[in-house]
Amino acid sequence: MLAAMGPAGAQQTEQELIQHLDTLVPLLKDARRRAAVAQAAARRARDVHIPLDTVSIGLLTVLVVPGEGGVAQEVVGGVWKSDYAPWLSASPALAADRMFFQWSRDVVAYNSSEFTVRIVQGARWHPRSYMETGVREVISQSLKGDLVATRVGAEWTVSAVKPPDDPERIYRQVALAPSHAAQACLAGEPTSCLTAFGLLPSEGLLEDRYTPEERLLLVRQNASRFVRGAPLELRSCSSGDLAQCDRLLADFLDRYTSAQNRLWTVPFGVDVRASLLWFALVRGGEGSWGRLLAHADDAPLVALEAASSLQGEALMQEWHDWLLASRPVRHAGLGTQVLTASLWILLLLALAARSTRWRFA
Amino acid sequence: MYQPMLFLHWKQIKVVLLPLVVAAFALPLLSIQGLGSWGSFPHETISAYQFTMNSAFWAPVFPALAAVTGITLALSSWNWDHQLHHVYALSLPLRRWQYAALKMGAGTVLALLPAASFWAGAHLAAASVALPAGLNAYPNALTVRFLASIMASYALLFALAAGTVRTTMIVVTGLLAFMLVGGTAGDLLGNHFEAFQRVDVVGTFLRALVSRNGPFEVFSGSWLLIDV
Repeated sequence: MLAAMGPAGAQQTEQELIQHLDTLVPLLKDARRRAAVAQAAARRARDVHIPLDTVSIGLLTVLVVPGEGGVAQEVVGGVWKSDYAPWLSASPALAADRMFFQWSRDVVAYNSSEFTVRIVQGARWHPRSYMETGVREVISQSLKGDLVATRVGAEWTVSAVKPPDDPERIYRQVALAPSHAAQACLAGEPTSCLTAFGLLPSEGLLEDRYTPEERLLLVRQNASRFVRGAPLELRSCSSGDLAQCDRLLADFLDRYTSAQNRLWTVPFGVDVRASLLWFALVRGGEGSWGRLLAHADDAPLVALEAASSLQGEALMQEWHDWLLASRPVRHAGLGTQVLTASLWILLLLALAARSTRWRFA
Repeated sequence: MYQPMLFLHWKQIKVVLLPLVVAAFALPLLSIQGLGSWGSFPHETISAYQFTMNSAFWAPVFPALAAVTGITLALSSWNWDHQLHHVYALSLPLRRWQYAALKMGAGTVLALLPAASFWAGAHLAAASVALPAGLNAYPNALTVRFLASIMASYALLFALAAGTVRTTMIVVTGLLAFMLVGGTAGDLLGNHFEAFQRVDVVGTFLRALVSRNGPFEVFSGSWLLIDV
């Protein structure tokens, strides 16, 4: 803005600049209002008007092309019944949103400015599991909408509100988290799990989560957060100066005190947290989502306890049991693979034995 | 009859096979290199993360070494037949299938050398580091996978090399051409036929090779010596 005012502007006093800025405020407000009107008009212009049927499944309002109600009932209803119905009895976002479901040979575009439309669309040759994954994804998006403006949503973000796609991946992320708290959690200490999930307040230099060497790794892995302010210090840290790493981290923690801004320092990431949230909801059973929302502006641990109807440590203990049951068998199926390879080898040997006649030239 | 066949194959390949045996021994040790101490830090601070990152870095080299070993064994097994116009084979009182089976057997025994070397290296590597909680070493399973992978690539090239050089060249060139040109051709066809928009022909072919019940399925599993 100063550049726009020209060289004379740079010589204005602070008071004059403030006065000048104040005159711009009404203009800005007017511009924003006009932009909002234009955006709404643009959204309406993108509306697609096609004949649709509406199917109600649990809390979901599903829009379908006429004739596809049956398949929507089957697929969406199946997902709803198995994954969400046992614990989800109320959700403002889910009630407000619409799901447009289409699984057919010719897909059509649909959009509406009246409500948020979440689209699950697939060609007929897509497998049913593909459509079910899509249904879970859009339900998850709506449910995350319930948490958007809450403390839980801000301070304890999760990747999704749906069953973990790959529990083995969750186990892997826990086992490989570079944090002594995460290692202790894997070994079965519930309090360490609470720490590794960031559910207990962490003081000082996050000593309860990371050793000095782990803090070095943490700073290295998140170098982009530090590089702007202190590139030389970051270089020293990356080359192994533990004290410099701690200084960088302390400086960051002094500047950013909110849990939201420190979320990246939580050892367990969004997927692992999502697995705990899912576990708490399923464990809590009937009405657990409602209880979570009722405490969504409390500390995340309080909300999880309310959802699961368990004390924090008990919840950690049960989640840990689930985690151990998800441990991958790294070489599962090796015997079958070797057998398959052996059969192919025999086939290729047979081809080699008959491939061509011996020749003299 | 088997022993001369084995001896002949050994004579052909020993100069190439010995470095492969050494590489098979060294590779597992390389994959844990530096994990005994991480820079100047004490051992106990090394996290599971560092272990698997190191292990994952070297993981693609394991199947590559297995494939190279198998291919080398296969090409060398028919080498002298092609050079001498099959005179030696025709001088033997053997049927074609017996001759091919004996050759295959000789190659299989020779494949055990790098596999045994790999097994020793993997066990030595696993024993030389203290693993953090939650991690395990898989030297035996990895050796089985390594041997099976050698044999799978050996068998394919063995079958190809068993024919004439001309046939081998036609098949190999055809496959390479398919992989190089197939993608572009698929895109061009996709402009005219909807079905081709949905199918990546080359990708599907390659996936079929390593997917369930494919000839190279054994290549598709975990190649991590140290893992959860």
